[in-house]
Amino acid sequence: MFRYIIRRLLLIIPVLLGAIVVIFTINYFSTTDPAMIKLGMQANDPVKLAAMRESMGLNRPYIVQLGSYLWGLLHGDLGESYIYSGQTVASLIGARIPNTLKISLGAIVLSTGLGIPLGLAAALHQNTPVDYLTSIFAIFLNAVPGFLVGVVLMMVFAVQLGWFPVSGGGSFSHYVLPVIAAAVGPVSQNARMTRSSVLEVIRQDYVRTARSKGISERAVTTKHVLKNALIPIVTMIGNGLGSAMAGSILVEMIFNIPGMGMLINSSISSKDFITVQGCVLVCAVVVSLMNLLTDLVYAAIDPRIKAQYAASSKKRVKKTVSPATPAEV
Amino acid sequence: MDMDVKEKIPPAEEELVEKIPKKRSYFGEIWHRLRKNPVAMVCLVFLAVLILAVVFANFIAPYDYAEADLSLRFALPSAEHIMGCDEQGRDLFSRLLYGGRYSLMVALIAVAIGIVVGMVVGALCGFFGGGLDSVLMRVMDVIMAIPGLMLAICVSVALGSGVFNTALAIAVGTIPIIARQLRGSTLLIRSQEYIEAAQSFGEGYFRIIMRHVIPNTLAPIIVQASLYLGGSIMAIAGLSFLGLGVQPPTPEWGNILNTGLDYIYQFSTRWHVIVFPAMFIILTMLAFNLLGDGLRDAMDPRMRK
Repeated sequence: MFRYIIRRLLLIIPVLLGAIVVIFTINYFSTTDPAMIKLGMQANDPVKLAAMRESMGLNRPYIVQLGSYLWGLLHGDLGESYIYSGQTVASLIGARIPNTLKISLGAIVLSTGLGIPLGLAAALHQNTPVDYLTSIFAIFLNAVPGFLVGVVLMMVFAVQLGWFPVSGGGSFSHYVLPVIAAAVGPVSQNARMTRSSVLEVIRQDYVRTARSKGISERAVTTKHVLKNALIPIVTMIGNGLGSAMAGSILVEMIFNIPGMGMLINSSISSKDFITVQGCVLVCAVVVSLMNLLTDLVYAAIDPRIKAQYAASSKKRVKKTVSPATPAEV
Repeated sequence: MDMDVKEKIPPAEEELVEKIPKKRSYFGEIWHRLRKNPVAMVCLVFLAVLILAVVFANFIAPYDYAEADLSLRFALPSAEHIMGCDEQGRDLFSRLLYGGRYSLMVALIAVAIGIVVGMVVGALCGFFGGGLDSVLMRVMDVIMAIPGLMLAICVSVALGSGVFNTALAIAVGTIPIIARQLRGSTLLIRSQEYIEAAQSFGEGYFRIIMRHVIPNTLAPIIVQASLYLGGSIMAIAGLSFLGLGVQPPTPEWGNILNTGLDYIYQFSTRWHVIVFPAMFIILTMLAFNLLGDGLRDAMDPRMRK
């Protein structure tokens, strides 16, 4: 198990580094000139523009700029905002990321708490009205953009009924509607995934064996079906952070919550692209770390992975690359 | 029970001929099963009608999409303007029809780029393996590590707005998923005997990939395509909401909806500028998703006779 953790930790470093290089490179080949954005109205003066390009280090070769960006990252420096002079991107993001994380994590909790029971109910009552209703609900949620749900929720529950504050962050009640809106997509995915996972398990021989032993249906469901079906679902919950964050980013603007979404939106409209780059990068890192954590949890709860590693470390079997493992197909 | 009754009555000769199951091609078989799925067929018909309507928008749309009449600002649906008018007094129905051209075109280009590039990368990796495989698949891992919307924002910001740029921004995230899937299928196919046979005939790698590998992996890719088309429509709407994507005055469902959302506080009198664009987006998403589900069921090997 320890070897597995070390292996996964070492594997994430090149992936993260690669992701940073990709994001930097995409922005490097951007059609807009950062110096022009930073100068704003004064950009018409070619002398000033050239001086700004020089001082921003834009005349250096690609590889040097990449190197200095990476070196900065190691020190937690994401560069300086083009628009808010003197503000670092890291401080802009640092002030806003807690709100985004609150909404995303809330959305994960809600989508897990709602999606799994829904999927379970649908699978246990397959081909009954319960199943059909749940499926219709999930399919519909999957087709409605989360930000639209956010707008509707705000109009109904905040503006009309006045149950929740319309905008801003701070207290718990500020986050209720945004979390629901950000959870729309993940709820649907969780319900559908749980349903198919449970249906797969329900047909296994060991479930039939459990039933034939005469234990109650409740015990069969909780001890045999759910326990096995949950393993793939755990992965899905962890990997759902990416879509929950995306949901949060779109929803924040509706409720006027100062999070990453608001920052991305305002940076896009003011062409403060280094801030956008920083936001994308931070999100990618957070999501990757969450995926790593999920993989570790997965390994901890699935005895098959543990056994595989225990066996391979004892016997020192040289890992051969099989033509196609089922996971890849 | 049914079988017994049938066996007792000797069937007429013509009937007997029909009983012999027709030999269908793989795709014929899928089509046959898909046709029995009423939900998928309704979606297929809906999408066909929608695509025809937006392609021939210049014949169907009652007005030009840019024709503004300020006296008709926010006019509610009426006989002349069946979906009412927008904030500049432009006919909303015409705008949505023309907007569908851009939305569907962006989605289509995005999925096409994602699938073609993904398939090429996946097939090359699966077929040749070795160093090329390791390098390309690591690049795919890296792209997969960046959440889809984030990557789309990043590319969109760098390239600027426009149909092709938006499509490319959305496509980048789908490339690694398709590539992984195709790599897996290619690895399975590569070890089959007919590939060896083809090689013994002296067929080149390119020909083998094009003639044997890709056709055999097409079915699951088609399912993915349908689901991605729906996902792309949603992604375009999301990008429009963030101020990226296809920019007004070019009509596109996402930016029409986004403009409408500015008037959310006057919903009781201006509901149509939100409800109709949302309806187009949601129905199209639903249709692509349900068609994708139907195709997946139809292609499920466990259902194959």
